[in-house]
Amino acid sequence: MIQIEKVKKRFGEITALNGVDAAIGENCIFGLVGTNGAGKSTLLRVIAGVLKADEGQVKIDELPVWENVQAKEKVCFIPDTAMFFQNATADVMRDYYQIVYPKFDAARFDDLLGKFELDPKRKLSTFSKGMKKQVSVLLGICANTQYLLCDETFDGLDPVMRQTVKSLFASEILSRKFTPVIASHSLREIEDICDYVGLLHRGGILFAKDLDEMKLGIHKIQCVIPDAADEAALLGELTVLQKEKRGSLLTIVVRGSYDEIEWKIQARQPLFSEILPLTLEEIFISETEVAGYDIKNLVF
Amino acid sequence: MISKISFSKLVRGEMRQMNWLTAVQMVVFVLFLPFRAMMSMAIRQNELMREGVTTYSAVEQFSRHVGLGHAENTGLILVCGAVCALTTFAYLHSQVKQDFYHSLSLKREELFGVKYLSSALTFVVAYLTGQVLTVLVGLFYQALTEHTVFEIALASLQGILFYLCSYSTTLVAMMLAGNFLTTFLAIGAFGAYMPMLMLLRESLESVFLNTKVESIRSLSSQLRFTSPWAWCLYSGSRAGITSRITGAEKLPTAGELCQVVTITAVLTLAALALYRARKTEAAGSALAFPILEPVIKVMVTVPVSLVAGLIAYELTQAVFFEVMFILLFGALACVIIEFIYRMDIRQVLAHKWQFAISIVIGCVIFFAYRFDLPGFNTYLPAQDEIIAMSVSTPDFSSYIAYGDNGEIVYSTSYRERLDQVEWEAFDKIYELAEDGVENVKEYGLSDAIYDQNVNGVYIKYHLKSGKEVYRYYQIDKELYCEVMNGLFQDEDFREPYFPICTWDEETLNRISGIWVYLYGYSKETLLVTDKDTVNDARMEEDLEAESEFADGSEAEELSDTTEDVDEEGWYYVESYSVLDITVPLYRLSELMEAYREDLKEVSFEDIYYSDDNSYIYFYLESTYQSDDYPVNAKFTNTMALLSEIYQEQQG
Repeated sequence: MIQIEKVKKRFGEITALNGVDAAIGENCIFGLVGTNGAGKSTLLRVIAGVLKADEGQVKIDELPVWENVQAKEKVCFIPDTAMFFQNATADVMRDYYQIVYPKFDAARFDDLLGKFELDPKRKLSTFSKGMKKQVSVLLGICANTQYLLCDETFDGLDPVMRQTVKSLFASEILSRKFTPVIASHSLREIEDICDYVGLLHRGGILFAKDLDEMKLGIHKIQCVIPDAADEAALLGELTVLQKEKRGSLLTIVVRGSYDEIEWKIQARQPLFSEILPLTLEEIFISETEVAGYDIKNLVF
Repeated sequence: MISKISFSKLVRGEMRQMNWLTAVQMVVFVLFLPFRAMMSMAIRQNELMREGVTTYSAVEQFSRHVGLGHAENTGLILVCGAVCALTTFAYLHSQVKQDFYHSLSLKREELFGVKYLSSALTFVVAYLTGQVLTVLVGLFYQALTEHTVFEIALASLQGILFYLCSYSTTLVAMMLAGNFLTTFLAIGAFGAYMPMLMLLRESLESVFLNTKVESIRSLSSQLRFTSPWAWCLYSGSRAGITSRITGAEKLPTAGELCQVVTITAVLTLAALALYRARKTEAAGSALAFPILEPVIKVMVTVPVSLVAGLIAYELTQAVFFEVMFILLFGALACVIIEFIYRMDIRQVLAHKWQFAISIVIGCVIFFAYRFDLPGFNTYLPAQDEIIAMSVSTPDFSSYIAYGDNGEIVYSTSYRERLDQVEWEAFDKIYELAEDGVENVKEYGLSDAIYDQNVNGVYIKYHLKSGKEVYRYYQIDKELYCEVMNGLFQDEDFREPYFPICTWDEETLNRISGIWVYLYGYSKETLLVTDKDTVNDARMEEDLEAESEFADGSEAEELSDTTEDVDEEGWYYVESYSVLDITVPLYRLSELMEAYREDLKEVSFEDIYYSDDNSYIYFYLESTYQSDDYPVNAKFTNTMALLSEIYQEQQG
């Protein structure tokens, strides 16, 4: 488990992280979303032990990460821009990773390189941005560390490759103790893979929740209730996060269980009613509006 | 907790990434070591084949090009150290590379160790390959001796130490800087800041402290303490064959090697400590430790403003312009430094208080020198604070004397010579000092003092506190002669000024030649031994010379013969003849005895202010060290002996 405890990080006069508190459980995919400059990369670098927090600390399996070899050997960090040696090929990088990550699976790396149709003898400097990303992801996965920190990993990958990488992550979780933390500026890119999502904004984490829990406890309802008094009574009974009325069509986002909401609506004899699934974006909009943020301006 | 990453595997892995560095160094050292030795031996063989003779034997020729004492090799090694450090730790200036290296499960000191060792090994492999190939070249030409092999081995050890020293110095500079520009500036500052500061101090003192007596240590020997590179260059060039050729073989001692080891260890630990303290996010910024920004700014701006003030003084000697120059160039330095810090032209005028502090410090230092605020030039201790004083002038040119431990010392330093002639009954010398200080107060830095009839005199105060103070004054010549005439009557005072009087058997044995140059003498005048007759003969000769000069045609004729040496061994220099006598060494004792006897009879003025002063030169073993003693017609015994020797030589 990664525990982020009141982490603050300043770069001169700029506060990049302002008391971030979060916990990232084991064997799940954690998505870290936020606008550009929200502090995602900084947080990942603090978790990886690259940066030292000015205040607070990050613990990996109860061990403080800063200058702690025991904690750091559980983590592999794939930064936004991968570091490859001058004139290196994938083979050269594989050999070096074998030294610095003692559990590195070279055979698997070679196998995956073949599957991804990447030439192990070709200079990495001649690879496209997406191909370099693929190599760095493969190196990260084959490092066989418990935690893999990915900074904008899907940025630059084509849709097919994005799905392939997501599948790889999923299969890794099934086969061993593996927790990828994926930072992205786009919710849509990671909503289909993440179990947990943390929203980072202006150096602070707005919330970090289980995606399924969020989806089960929040619903979008479209209904037409002929009697205005019944409509008002219904709105009073439900925990409404968002409300919009166009003509007679009432659209609301409410918190509560499906059955309970369904029962309450039917009790008001609507002309029409429908309970719709929420996208991750809509859930975030609703949650953040409650928290006092206009999320539409933040993430999407 | 130690990392599970294998240290040795990681070092090998890093070395693999630096194969190019090993290759480049290998090429350079093969060219500079075995190839050079081979070329030298080939040239010698060619000489043998063509002319049948060579200057040096094979062993000699080989030993001249290998081993210790090659400044160019030392320079190359130091450059390698700096380049290796720059390339190996270049990741400090890249966020992408730091993300990679600092996310590995390695402590910073482990990563530092891996990088340091792998880089050092690239040098060791290349350098030792070069040295081994050099030995093979020696074997091939049958020019190898045990001594040469030993010296090559010692040179290899010294070279590796120099490399590490240069490497660590560069690392310290890199750790302090955040990008390549400031790294290069920091390296430059490490190498040049202290020497430039020393030169600046010397310049200020030579301009404003006109009573200062130069230190015993020459500026060049002081420079070796100014940076590790200077230290290595100094140590590297004074050992080995180069010294042996000049007659003073010197191998580096264990102590000297330990000094380099100590410097390297201190610098390496400093670099490591800075690395641990350095923040990862410092990559790309000008300085890794922003707290140093104002310090460095002041450290650069103050010397710049002092140089500007000095230039203004030399040009105008006007306080207004001196202040203006200090302000202008100080501001310029601040603007440039601020631009380097921020790389933003809009921010070059930021931190004005740092500029203000620099200018104030610059002005205080400059005008403290300019107006001698500490009272250096006018310093005159009270008589009751003094144990002894000594006096010397450029007239006294005896360099061969005895040190405190009785060993022979050869000194050209006025400080050392003043140390040898201390006098406890110093009242008269104090009078000279008072006159000197009065002149300083009256004329200050003005050249008008030289319009007076003054003499430059060195004076030393040996204080009861143990402090020794040296000063150079302009003293009224009449007063100086009067005082010195009085003091020279005392044999105890006079003797130390003439070390020849006390030379022992060992010193005499080390004298390798005696030459006498008698200015204004000719064969005829010298051979008249009676003092009065000598003077009469010389006067007649002078009158003849004067009358010849009055006649233009004769003068022209004389000047034509200025550089001609005649058959009798004398020649003309601007109407003066110089008689050159070589005194055989077996007559040294006689000469000394005659000279000692004469000293008892002559006054100070007779010795130094005679119109016909000539000199006896004694050479001490090496032809580079000589001592000269004045001689003139008043040295009757000496002149008689010289006349006799000359007569014998002329047959």
